[in-house]
Amino acid sequence: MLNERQVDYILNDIRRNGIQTEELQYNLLDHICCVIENEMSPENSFDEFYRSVLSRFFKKELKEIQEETDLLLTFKNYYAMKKVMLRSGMFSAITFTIGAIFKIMHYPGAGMMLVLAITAVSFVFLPIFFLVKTKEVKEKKEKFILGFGAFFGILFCISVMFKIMHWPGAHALWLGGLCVLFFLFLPLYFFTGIRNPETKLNTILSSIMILIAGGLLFTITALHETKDAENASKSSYLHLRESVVNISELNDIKYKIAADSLKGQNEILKEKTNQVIEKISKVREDLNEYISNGEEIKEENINGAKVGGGLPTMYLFDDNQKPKPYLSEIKSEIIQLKKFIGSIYGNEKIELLNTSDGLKIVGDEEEMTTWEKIYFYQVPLDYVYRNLDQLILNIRITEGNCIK
Amino acid sequence: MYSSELIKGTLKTIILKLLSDSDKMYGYEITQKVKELTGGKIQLTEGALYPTLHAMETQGILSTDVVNVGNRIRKYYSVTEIGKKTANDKVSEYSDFIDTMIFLLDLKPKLG
Repeated sequence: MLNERQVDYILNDIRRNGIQTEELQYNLLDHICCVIENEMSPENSFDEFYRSVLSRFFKKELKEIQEETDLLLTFKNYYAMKKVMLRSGMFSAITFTIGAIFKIMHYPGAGMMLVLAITAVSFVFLPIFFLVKTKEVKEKKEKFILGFGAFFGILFCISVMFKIMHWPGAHALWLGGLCVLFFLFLPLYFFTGIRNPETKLNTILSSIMILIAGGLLFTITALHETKDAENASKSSYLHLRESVVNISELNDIKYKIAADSLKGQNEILKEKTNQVIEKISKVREDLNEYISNGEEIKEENINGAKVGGGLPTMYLFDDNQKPKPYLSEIKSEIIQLKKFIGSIYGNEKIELLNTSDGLKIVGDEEEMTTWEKIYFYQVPLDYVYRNLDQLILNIRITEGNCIK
Repeated sequence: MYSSELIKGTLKTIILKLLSDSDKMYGYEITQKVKELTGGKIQLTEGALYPTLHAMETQGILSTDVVNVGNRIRKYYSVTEIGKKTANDKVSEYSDFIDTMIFLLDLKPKLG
């Protein structure tokens, strides 16, 4: 039996020679000890015999055993990783295709499928793809490029997901991804590949392809504006606003060419009309400010997709679903204007100015409700703007019909 | 003694077969047993044996049992339930391989 000093000596020697895994250390220690105990004859010296035993374990150095073990262990992981990569890739491709078709057809569940597919690509497929590929390339630079490629891919996928789901921050992510592509990945890829004569042609071709694809994506970006509060306001039926301006100009001309005898009456009409329109415009502006000032507004808050109605409803109605004073005032102003016009110009002139209660579709049912609620309660922001603009337009048209 | 290339391809099969036939064995014991059974014709090298044992352990084919022997630790290996199936597969695959090799290399069994 070997004494403790000898066992320690062997263990330290094994460690010194590059065996790092503890279990491997103890395995080798036991093995060497067994050989020595069973095969060493009394005339051999421990030191010499130990050296001769150890030399049986390797070709050049003992470290080979550690390397071989590591290789076998990583190869196993490598194989498993490839399997996961292939499966997640297949899953994403199928889910994404079905999700995209559902999205185009407006079937339910499209969003969930797309999110699942993109999440699988971004967080399973691409990272593993990167790891597997880095094992295959040797140069550090190539690994770096692969890393950047994977990073861009993940960023790009996530930004597409944000865009599809209309989540806030989509635009910034999208632009960030494109910037990484154009200013980091592409130059790095191009200048690394072009130096090597073997990869020169391929690099140039791939770079051109990436540039074209990136350019196309960038063009799409320019076309698609995100639907934040400001843009919802801006894009809300611009032609409606234009019509208001056109009709107002037309009305002004009508006022100018009107007979002198009617000027007095026209003045009153103009004043009363402008008064109502100012009220409506004020509410529109205040609402816009209210929404723009709210930081980190969720899309659902702006558009009121969820029950509760979002910010426009919060601004225009109180907790008991009653219209706030500034909204009720609009209604009463319009009613007064109707009375005025009806009495002087005839009731047929006020057909456009509707302030009556009516039916509103709530869920699957229609219910009788107030004018305010029909046009403004739990109505998405852009529709609220549109309804306000439509009111102004109708008033202007009515005004125009009355000018003599 | 056979070349290490030949042994390398069969190492897993040899280890699995030996361990399935016994309760548990440790590394040195495995090398000695193989040497004894083959009359020294097959000698497993430590450099190939231990990496393979470790890999098979992480794959769940082998389980281990650590025992204190005097002033050192000894790791006993035994075959798991999954390993038993792998052992059968490996042995039958190898037997099939031998038949194929006999046919391929045209090694007719010598008839008396």
